[in-house]
Order: sequence, then structure tokens, then C-alpha cells
Amino acid sequence: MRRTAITILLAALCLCAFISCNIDATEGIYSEVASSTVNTDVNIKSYLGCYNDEHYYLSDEGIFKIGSGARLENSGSSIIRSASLNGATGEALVMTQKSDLSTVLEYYTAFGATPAQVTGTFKALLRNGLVYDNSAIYTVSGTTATPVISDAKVLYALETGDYAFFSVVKSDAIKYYVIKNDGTVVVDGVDGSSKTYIAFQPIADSGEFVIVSYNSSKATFEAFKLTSTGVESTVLFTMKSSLQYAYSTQAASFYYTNDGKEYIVIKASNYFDRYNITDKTIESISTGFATTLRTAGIVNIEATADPMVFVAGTYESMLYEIDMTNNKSTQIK
Amino acid sequence: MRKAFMAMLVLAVLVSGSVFARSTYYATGDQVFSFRGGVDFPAFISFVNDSDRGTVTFADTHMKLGGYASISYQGYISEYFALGGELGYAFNYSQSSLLLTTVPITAKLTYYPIQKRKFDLAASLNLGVSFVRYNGGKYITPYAQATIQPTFFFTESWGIGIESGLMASAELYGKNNNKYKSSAICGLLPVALTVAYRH
Repeated sequence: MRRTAITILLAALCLCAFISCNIDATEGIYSEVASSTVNTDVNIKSYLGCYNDEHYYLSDEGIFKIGSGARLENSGSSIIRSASLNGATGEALVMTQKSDLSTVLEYYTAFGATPAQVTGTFKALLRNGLVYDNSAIYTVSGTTATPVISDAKVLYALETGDYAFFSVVKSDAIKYYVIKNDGTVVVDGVDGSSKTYIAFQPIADSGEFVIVSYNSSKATFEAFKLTSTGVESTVLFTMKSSLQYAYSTQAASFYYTNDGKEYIVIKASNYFDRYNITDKTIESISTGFATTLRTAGIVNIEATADPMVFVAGTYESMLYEIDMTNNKSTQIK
Repeated sequence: MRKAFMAMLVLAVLVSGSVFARSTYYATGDQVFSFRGGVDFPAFISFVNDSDRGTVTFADTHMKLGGYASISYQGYISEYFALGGELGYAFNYSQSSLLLTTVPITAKLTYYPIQKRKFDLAASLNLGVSFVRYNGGKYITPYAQATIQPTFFFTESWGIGIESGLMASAELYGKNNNKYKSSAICGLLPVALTVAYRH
């Protein structure tokens, strides 16, 4: 009987060792639990930028300025889907969805002024001001939209800072474009693929970009360099951690230089991954500026006038200033 | 905390074994069914491969008080030991109000240092696996549980008692896995009411 008992116990232990496995956790389950945060009633959808030293953000209730009430509030018949703020002039574009599900793009000389409708019907407005419909990508000046790329159906777009990456179908082929918010086409219709990229980061204004995709066969996130000639086939680096959101596009990254070296920082699930472009090394960061932000759900990170300072908006309805000179982050809302 | 618990468990077993007379109530071949339900307190989450995060305890686990229930069957393999299996279910909500569920399936070995007609004191060790789910993620983890159970029998067969101890699940990843630093051991402290039927 005792032998039977020991056999059963050993069998249980072996079973335990053999079948213990991850089925579908995108990040460690207990890691996610320990990083969970209290839900707030208002979630930031996008940090819009700074105008006259005041920070603006789009939440699920409308457009707000820190320290004051709504600049532009959702109503029952009109919900703000996206917005773009020109930090130099205070001009803004706002895309709203009406109760009949149609969308309207409006131009504001300033929040609070009477809007004017931009001529045309558009599918999406990016934070940097580029818009697109089912056949073209446009820049907008005042109430006039000017096509930059025509006869192209956008499959998806990624944006960080002034630049946006577009995967489009043009002449029955998938092509990639990178367009600056002033309409400059930096990557002009290079051959693309059905692969979906989920993060995008310009390397300053060098004309080179880093794009990240998920490699399902290896269960890793791989970064590639994108230039005017296309996406390089060689993996630039493999992220140390899972990307913050494994399957949705995101703009939670930034670029900076320090001591003559260039860095790209990308938000991962519970860390920031920092890629040293100069030395071609990658590391996970959980201290310094990342101490608080590593568990935050970041919606976007935008550069400021200071090349070492960035502002991050989070789903938890907070804005943080990231100061890479002093390696710290400070809550500003 | 784990060390303290294990020390208490060992002490309870040793003291009880020496203080009480060693007359036995059970015989090989006896059986016991038991049902339990109660609460579980989040005890700790230990990130074994991430020294920056280390071990977080109680409220810092970002888990709320949860619930626990199980059913077990054991047969006595000697006068002092019973062996069998247990199926459990534990749930906790995270701070984000998302549900974490743990379903342990274990082999269970119980030692009865005190066994009277009206009262038992038992110490159990469970080993097995648990199916863990949270926010769309699933994981099958190694699972271990150590508990003590005083039980009062109000009839020859039926008894009621309380059970407490430590339940631990280990979510482990290899060095080549990008979730390596997320490897963690999660501990829960169950406090449950037990109903036992023996014959």
C-alpha cells in the first residue's frame, strides 16, 4: 500500500512537471495581476500636446486642458473620436462621430472658437494631423484637405511624433509610406507585405525608422529598420519583453541622445526596453523614469521642445513628464 | 512568512503527536470525503527572476480578498495517513476588477496525529497542477498546498471543522522566454469551513 502511495505521489509530481506550460499568457499572469491598477471613470485616449505651456488631452469624455474643465465635450449625438493640436498655433482638428455613425472633421482656430467643417469625408484623423479616407492620405490646412498619396486604401497606420507609417493597398499591391505631418513623403511606396507592424519610432529626422512586429512562431517581438528603400530583412533587435499591447497599434516610444549615443525607448508590458542604436544593445529598464510608468498603460508619448523631455498620457487618466536628463518621471495630472 | 507557517505546521504536528496518546481511530481502508468553502487572502507574489520587483505581499499584490472551495476524497493507507485527491476552485479580483481564477487538481496526503471519536487534527500536503486564468491569459502551473484542519465530529460519521494554510502556484518561464522576468510564485491563505464524512 505504501508503495502504491509513493507511486501515486511521484506520478502526480511528474504530471505536474510535464504539463506545466503557458497556453496563452501574453505577459506573466501574476505579473499582470500585480501590475493591475484601479479603474478610473475617465480614460485618456491621447495626449494631444502642449500649447501656451498648457497640456491638452483627449479623454473618453472630450478634450480637456489640465487644470480646467472640458474644452470640447462629447454629447449624446457627437462623440470625439480623435483630435490633433498644433502646439505652435493652437489650431486643432477634431473628428467627431455623429449618432448616424457618420464622421465629421472640423477645424478650430483655437478650442472654444466656432469650428468650420473640413471639406470631404474622412475615415480617420491621426494625432499629428494627417487624415485619410478610403482612397487617399491628406494633409489639412484650415478647412482644405490636400491629397499626399492618392488611389491608395489605408490598411492601418502607426504614428509617433510628427511621422506616420501607412500600410496601404495601391494598384493591388501592399505598399508602405512614411509621411511627415507637413506632407513630406519620407518613405514613398516601398514594397510591403501582409505582416502587421504594431509599433513605429522615427530615429530623429534621419529618414530611418524602427518598426516592430510580433513573430508568432518565436513568440517574440522583433524590430526592423525601415528606410526609403524599404524594410530591411535583418532583425534589428528582439525586444527583451513583450510589447505593452501585443496585438494593437501603439505609440508608446521615444528617441533621445545622451553622451553621443542614440537610444530608442519602447514601452513593454512591465518594463521599458531601451535599444542603444550606437552600440546595438538592448536592455530592460524598470528603475529611474520607469519606476512608476513601467506598470502604466501608456497611450502615447510625445516629444517636447526640450529633446530630453517627453510627455506620456496613460489610460489611468494621468499625464507624466519623462525627464531623461535626470532619469525621472513626474506626474503632471 | 512561509518559513513561519511551515515552522508552525511542523510544531503543531510534533507537539500534538507527543502530547496526545497515540491511540488510533482510523484503520487502513477507511475513507473520508470532505467539502470546504471559505475565503482566501492574497499573501504574496514573488518574482523569482526579477530582483527589482522582488516579493510583494498582501495589498501590494493588487489582489482583493477572494473565495475558495474544494472537494476531496481520501482513503487511509495506514492508521495515520490518508491519500487521495482534491479538486478546488479559488477566485480573486485584481485591482482592475478582473477575475483571477485558480483550479487546482492535486494528490493529497494527510497525516492524522490526533484522531478521536469526536475530534481530529490533520495536516495535509497537496501536490499537483492548477489551471490559472486571468484577463484572457491561461497557464497550467505546478501547485502545492499545505494546510491544517481541526475537525469536530458531531456524529460517528459527520464532522465540521476549519482549515487554513498556504496555497502556492508557480508560473515559471525559461531563460530564453521573453516572459522570463515575469516568472512568479503566488501564495494565497485560505480560511475555510470544512464538512467531513468518514466511514
